[in-house]
Amino acid sequence: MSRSSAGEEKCEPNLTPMLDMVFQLITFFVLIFNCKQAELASNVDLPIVGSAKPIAKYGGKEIRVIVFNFKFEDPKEGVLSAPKRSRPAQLWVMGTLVPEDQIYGFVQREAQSSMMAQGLTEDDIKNGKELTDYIVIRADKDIPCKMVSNVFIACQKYGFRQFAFRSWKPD
Amino acid sequence: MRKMRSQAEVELNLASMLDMAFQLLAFFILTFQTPKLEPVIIMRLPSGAPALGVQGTGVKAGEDEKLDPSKVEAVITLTINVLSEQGSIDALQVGVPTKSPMEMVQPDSALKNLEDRLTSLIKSSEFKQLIIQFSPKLRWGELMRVVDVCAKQDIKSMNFYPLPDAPK
Repeated sequence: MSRSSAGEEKCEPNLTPMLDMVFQLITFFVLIFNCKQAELASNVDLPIVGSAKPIAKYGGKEIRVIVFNFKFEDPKEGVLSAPKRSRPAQLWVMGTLVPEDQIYGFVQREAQSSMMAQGLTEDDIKNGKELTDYIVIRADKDIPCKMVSNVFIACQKYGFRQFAFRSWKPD
Repeated sequence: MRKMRSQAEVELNLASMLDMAFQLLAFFILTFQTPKLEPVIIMRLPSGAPALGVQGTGVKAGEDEKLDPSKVEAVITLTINVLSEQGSIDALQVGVPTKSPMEMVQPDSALKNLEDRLTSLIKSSEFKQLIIQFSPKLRWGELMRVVDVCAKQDIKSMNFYPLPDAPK
């Protein structure tokens, strides 16, 4: 406690405990900060399906997961928002827009990196071996099926066999 | 007795450090998102084998242009055709084509008829693969309703093929 020359007492609060608490809170939020939210596109109205079950992990620890997000183009700013179904459908993977004509090339590149990780070759895939990675489909319920089936066909061609269809459960 | 200060006292001003800590905290609070655990249906989509008897309205499922059809062994296939004009399910055809003609199932709001028919087909038929053929305009949510019915029958493997556009 310091004293001024005029005899008044100054009270200085001890900030150390407050700083400790703030660091505790920061540590908490840093630990739960989830970078993987970038994989999930927003504004995807998933279909409601009764038999879907929440799972925390796909397969084992080493299993790689590729999330394909199908959604409608976001409405443009300053323009009266057009109905969802009138806007073009888009495919987003890891925050990147993948044009429809580049789906095969994209899947091929992903398959090649999976093959390298799993020690497989293209001949192994042709001879019936499979990639263990999971393909997660997050598609808006109003997306045309044909667009999603193009991804299925591309993934099957390059050796992906395990698929997970994300949805909501009815209340 | 005079006390001599042998060492100068250093006072650390914590107010600035606290300000910076609050800035960081505000950032993480504003970027915090509740993690969503979205339920999934796990399904295996193997390469389609040539299907016996799938013809007519559908693409011949599993057909490989490079293979000589006469040398390929086709497999018994449970086929579901999901027909749609505007995006929702208009009609369903179900059956094992080699056993009997495809049966038209009238869809009700809960696809209960399809579920009953599938249950009886799965119990009475031996099939090696399930194929769902769908009209190109069908919406994903509608197809997932059919997948849901199949998943409830404990089917863990299926294939999807688009039907050609209906001639105008």
